[in-house]
Amino acid sequence: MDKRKRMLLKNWMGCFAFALPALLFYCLFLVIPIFSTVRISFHEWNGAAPFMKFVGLDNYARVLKDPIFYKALGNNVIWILFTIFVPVLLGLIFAVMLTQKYVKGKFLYRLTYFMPNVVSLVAVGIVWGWIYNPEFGILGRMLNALGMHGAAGIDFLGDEKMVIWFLVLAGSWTCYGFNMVVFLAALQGIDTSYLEVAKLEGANAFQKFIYVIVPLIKGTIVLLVSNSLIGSFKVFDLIYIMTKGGPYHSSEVISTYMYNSAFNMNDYGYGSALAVVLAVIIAVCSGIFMKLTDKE
Amino acid sequence: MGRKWKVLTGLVLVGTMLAGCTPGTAKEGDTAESKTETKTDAGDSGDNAASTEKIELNMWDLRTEGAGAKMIDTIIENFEKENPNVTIKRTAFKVADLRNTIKPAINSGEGPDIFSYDAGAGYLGVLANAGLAMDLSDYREQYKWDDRFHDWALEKTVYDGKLYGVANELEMLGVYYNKKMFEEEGIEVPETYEEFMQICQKFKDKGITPLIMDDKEQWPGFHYESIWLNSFVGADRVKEAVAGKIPWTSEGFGAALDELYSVFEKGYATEKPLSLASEDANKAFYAGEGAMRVTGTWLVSACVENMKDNVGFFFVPVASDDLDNCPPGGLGEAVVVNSKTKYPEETVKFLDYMFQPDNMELWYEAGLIPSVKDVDYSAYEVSELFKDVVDEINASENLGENIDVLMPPKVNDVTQNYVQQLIAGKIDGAACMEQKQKAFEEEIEAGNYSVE
Repeated sequence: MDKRKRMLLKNWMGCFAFALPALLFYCLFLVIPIFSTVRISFHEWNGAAPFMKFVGLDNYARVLKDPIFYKALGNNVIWILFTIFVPVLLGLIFAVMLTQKYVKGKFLYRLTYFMPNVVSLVAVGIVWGWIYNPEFGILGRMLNALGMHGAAGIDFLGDEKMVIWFLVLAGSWTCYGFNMVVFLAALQGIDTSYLEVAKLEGANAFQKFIYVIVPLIKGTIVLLVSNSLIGSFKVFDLIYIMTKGGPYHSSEVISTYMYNSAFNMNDYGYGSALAVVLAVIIAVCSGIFMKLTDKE
Repeated sequence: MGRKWKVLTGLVLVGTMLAGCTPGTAKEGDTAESKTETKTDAGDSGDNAASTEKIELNMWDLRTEGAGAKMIDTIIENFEKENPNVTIKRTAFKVADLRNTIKPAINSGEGPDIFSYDAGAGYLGVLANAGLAMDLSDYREQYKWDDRFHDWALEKTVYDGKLYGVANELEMLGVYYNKKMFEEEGIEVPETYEEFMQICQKFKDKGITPLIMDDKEQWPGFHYESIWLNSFVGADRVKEAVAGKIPWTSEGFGAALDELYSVFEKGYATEKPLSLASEDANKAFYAGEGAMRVTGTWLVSACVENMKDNVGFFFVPVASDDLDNCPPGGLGEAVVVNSKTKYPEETVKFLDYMFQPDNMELWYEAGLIPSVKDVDYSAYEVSELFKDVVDEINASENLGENIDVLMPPKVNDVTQNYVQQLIAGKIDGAACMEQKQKAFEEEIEAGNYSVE
């Protein structure tokens, strides 16, 4: 008995030794920062002082009373709704179109549509910033050339009500290509006999799509939606590059507000509290989403 | 068995996490202790560096690239030649990195001997109070700095009657103008604010954007606020507000910002400033898409590069005759000596060397304006525009405040947002000033800003 215990322990230690390097790395760069963030969120700290002042839940109380936080949260929700459904929908439509036999030059289309996904978000932000530029942006000039002077007069990134929508447009552009490629793979995996049966039963193209294709690739849809869900909450680079959350917080999302609080205003406690709140929201949303899709 | 182990490892991991990484929580007396330590340490200095002993001085500054970096490297090289026992190791930082590192570095005794730092009460003032910056008052007399530097420049680094740094360079806020456009319209540089507005109207009537002003990146807004406040309530009252002697909500302050708004409202400035980036605004000015560009003297060399001699510079005139002509400007930074340096004599000697008359040519030719007075730059290779700018500075009676370099970060955060709201016509000047005053009071209370 004793011997068996020793053997087990030895065995376990061996496994542990192999896992150790990766575990250390994981702790150092992921687990420890997470706990440190939680810890800092209970303190008032300017990032430089040798000591932090414990303030309990004050930072969280401030978050809940902060109108800018709610503004940012609202923008996050808009961002999520539109950058999940628009790219997933577009990706699916393009993928179905590209699997049709009569489409020529499929490779070229696939390449072009996937391209935005390869470009770094910083570059995307700069390029879309130029497209929206009020002085020489192509969008304004194009609208003017089409005689749409009213639309051209919109201050794309400077108007508090419109700015988030123009950012969403740029954000959607970056990820529909990825969705399309994943859908393409899923569509190619569908057994054609299902479609043939549907055809025999007299289903038209739309019915085939809704009743045969969509149920068969449901797993892929769920995967892409949950992937986008988490990604959308984390949105930072694009907005930071294009507007820094401005004008006057109109395009602020929680991550840009968190960055601004900690690194520009030296309020690390408050920034950390925002980070924790964001993490909780992401966890809850992902949890609910996973529960819902599991049930079915 | 296995489960016990799991729980144990979990506990160990969580424990180490909570112990590591971040600074300890403040206990009463801790801060006071560290302050006294600083003071005693500052005392043991002086003669331990005989002139033959090899010493290395560490310097931290913000010149990461360009002519400024070359200039300082040349000065260091020359100094090392003249003082063979001293080597200077320079490390260049980005602004935010230096700001975040300097306090813990000095506290832990690892800091540089000499460094660049924002001169304002929210920055150098805090170091001075904490005893981290060295009092240079004695050296001021020894090296006769009063004869060499502009009085108003030295004033900016005085806290509690003591000198804590030397201004490195001046950055002034004003207006660049397209000379050709001015000549075509027969327009002279404005002497009064009224004339300034008339010029704007003239260009507007011609269909030319009078003032190219951008505020997408939010920092240009700081400068607009400083310019219009200086122009309408005067440098003296702005200084009083900065010192906390009068509130920002005092009479005239809000109205000054309303005047700033009216520039946008009347169509004198860029149509969509909130989505125009600074670099793009500069390009528009170089390309002649507007007659004037409101910004600061750091743009001198870029303007010359792009427009040759077709560009001039003036300060926004004051709005009434009662006010002194004090254009807003600030120190890029102050050069500060670490209170814990082992070699105060050598460090200050180097500090003084940087600003010696023989080195002025290096500064000017790098396009930088040190706060040294009576420099004869006629023999230097500098552009006409640069000479214009220096002449304008020498002609001004005093230096107005470039407010943001003096304010703590949270006041600036509030400011950059209300200026955008003001430009968009969402709130008026009085509401802006109320926001500023509120944030200002909060920062004073939180100990992030010191008022006398």
